[in-house]
Amino acid sequence: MLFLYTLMLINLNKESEPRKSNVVKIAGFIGGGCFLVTILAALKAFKVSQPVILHDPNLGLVKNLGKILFNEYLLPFEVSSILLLSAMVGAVLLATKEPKTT
Amino acid sequence: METLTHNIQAIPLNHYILLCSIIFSIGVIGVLIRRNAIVIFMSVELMLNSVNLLLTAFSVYRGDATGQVFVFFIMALAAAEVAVGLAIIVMIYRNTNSIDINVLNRLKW
Repeated sequence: MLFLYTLMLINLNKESEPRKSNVVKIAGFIGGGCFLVTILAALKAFKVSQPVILHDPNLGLVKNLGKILFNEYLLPFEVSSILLLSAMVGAVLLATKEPKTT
Repeated sequence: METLTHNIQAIPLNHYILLCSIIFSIGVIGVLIRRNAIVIFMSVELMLNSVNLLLTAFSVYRGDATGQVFVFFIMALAAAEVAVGLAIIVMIYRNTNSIDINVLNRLKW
């Protein structure tokens, strides 16, 4: 959901976008590359992998997912609703600051 | 269409893990090398989405729908994180007229 807004915003100020120095950039590439190499080396432990086969054809249907979500995971669902509510309140509180302080 | 679904079902699990690792690494590199705060948030979103993809792949692989339920929770958490983060970015932009994260080194004083 953030991607659309970002793509809408980024095209406007592509020239004025701040750039990092080359040293930081190279260090970032080396760090990310080392991370990728580490994961791929760990992946070598799985010699042969079975294909991903959908055994149960109604596994990902909305009906079954809803049954699981509202039976086993009812409490995390409600807690996530509280999380979303508090995030919304926090976002509004942060974004709408009174103009006299700025 | 039948051959397409047959081919998709023949993809081994390692390829899913490979794709998700590559997407996650792209997100990590994006966080490390970019200075625009919104682009950094987009990279974090990319990491979360790669984990979502891996969770669904493992869910289908194990025949257990719990992973797909977890994807819902990760999406809700990502939405909350993006809302608060964008509010913070708006506040920083209002104070400094820039979304360059380099101005944030004033936080250490």
